[in-house]
Amino acid sequence: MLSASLSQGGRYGALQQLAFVCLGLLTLATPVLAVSFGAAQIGVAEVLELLLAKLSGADPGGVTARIIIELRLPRILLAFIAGFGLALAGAVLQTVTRNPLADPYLFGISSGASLGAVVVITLLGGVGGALASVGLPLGAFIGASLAVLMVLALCGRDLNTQIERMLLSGVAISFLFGALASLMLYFSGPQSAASVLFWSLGSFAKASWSMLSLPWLLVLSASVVLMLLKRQILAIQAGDETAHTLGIRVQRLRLISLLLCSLITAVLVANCGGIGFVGLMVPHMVRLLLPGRFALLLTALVGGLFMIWVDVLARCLLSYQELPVGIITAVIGSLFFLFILGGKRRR
Amino acid sequence: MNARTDQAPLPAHNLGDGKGDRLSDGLYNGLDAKVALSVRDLGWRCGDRAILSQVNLALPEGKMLGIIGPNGAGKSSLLRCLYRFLTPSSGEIQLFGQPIASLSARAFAREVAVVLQDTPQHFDMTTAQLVALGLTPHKAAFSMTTKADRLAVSQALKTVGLKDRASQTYASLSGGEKQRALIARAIVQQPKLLILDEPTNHLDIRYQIQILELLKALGITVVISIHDLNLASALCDQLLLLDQGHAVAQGSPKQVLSEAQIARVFGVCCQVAPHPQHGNPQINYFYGYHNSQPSTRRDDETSEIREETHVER
Repeated sequence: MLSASLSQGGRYGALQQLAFVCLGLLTLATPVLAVSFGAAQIGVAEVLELLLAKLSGADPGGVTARIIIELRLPRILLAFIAGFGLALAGAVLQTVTRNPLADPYLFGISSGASLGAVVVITLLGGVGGALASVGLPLGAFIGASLAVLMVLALCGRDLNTQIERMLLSGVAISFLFGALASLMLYFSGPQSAASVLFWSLGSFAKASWSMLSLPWLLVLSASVVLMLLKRQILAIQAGDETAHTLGIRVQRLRLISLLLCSLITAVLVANCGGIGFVGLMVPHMVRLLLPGRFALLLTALVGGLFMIWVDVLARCLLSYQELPVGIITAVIGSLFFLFILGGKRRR
Repeated sequence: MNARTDQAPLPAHNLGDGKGDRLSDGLYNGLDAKVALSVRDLGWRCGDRAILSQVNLALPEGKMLGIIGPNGAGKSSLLRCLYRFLTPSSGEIQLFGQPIASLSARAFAREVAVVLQDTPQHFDMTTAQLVALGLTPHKAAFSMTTKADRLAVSQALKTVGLKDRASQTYASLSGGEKQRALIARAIVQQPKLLILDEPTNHLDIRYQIQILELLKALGITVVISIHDLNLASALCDQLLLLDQGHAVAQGSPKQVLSEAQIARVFGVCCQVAPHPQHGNPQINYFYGYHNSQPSTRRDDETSEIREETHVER
């Protein structure tokens, strides 16, 4: 958007504006459409009526109203912010590491979060109830933060080796934490293994109004800072030394970006589990659709909308049963990449 | 003149004309407004190894300085010191009388633009996007690209003759076009000093000449490192000859590019004659070195020349 519409500006600018308008309309329409899907089919008209009644201050009673307002809406909001944050983090990390395969989980965040979750599930497995529902996200967040802090400590200050050290220490920390989690699971009961598996595939089933505020607050504020730094982040793509000559303090900027992306990812992993492929795929998708752009906001919006509809699929594909979102994103993501590869070969 | 030869144990400071005197005066009192870039006793060490030592130079505004020397002579290191990627171990670099170390990263980037050849592997920007990167040091966070910015970008593209390549990806450009796109980015940066690391590498002769003449036409102060001595002779106003981190000669092409200097520093034999068009030295190399041992070659073939020119190191 910023470095956008240059020279042949007219055409490209118009294209991007069109994309924004479409996305804006979709963003407005999606919640209404998405809440109408689910085990109990509710008509769009009914949804609209209920929402308007709620907005005007009335308290529409009934089962339908409770399904929509207490179950489906928070779920949709959680799915949106998860997709928004993961896609943005992916786009930023792919740029600052100049690695097209970078993804928010690259730096050991998911295995750190898994370890935290495993610790909570195996230690508090029997307790259940309120303690577990607070403990799981907290444990996952602590695990994820620990992993990222270790990666940051290992990646060093030397500009020439920073990216490699970041990536390699991310891989090493991932394996280490993964091994620890496996070890703990090995000595725990099958019940814990099942719940850890379900958690690690990601789900928005636990969404409630009370748990929404923290992810929304953290993801939105980190996103604003990243968008403020957009021009600088883009310049890193031209190489570290060139970015230096453009007046950018490269090491510092890369660490800040990594920290903010990790914050976004950690809070999302803690609340929704490990949802793969969104952070990797959505930035590539937007780049394919709008080449020569670095449209962060657009990428994030596409990620949010994508995630809402993936969650709709998760709720509706099987009757009386919910699929983990992570499975659907992984299937769509891998098919998408095969499709891109096929297209590239033909060209 | 004397002051400088005392400072640096260098033999070839035959800057006998008035210009040279004024420059060296400017170098030492730091007040001469005509000097764009001055370097004094610059040294840089990498661990225990001295890569650059005792480099001095003074470049008048609007002139083009070519840094020449064999591989490993310290050309890139000198440039990196000039654009602050390396911090010198000793000495001082001044830009229009101001020590460059005193500027903030952004302020420095508004004064000095640099063209390197380190385009990363996965680089999917369009040409216009790349050129717009030059706006970076001029824009505050969250500021939009204005109409004036867009104009600056398209004008820079026009200056380098790439207007019709704006929406193409940078990766799809030819070598010469890539180099010109990078120069356009530097133009958008509106620098007072432009530094280029071997801008003519990998280009055919037409593009080599085109790039250097384009740089000259910009009218700003330019420092380039360059391997082609004939090209440097034809198009640079001043030359600095580096050998093993020492500035062994500097001045006009005529002063620097003597048969003796070239033989001593590069270890090749050549004949230097005035170029029929511009009168600066034109170098014709002699061939057939492969029979002599590389280690003894210099001693054998250049000892006479060395004595003759009283060059000591």
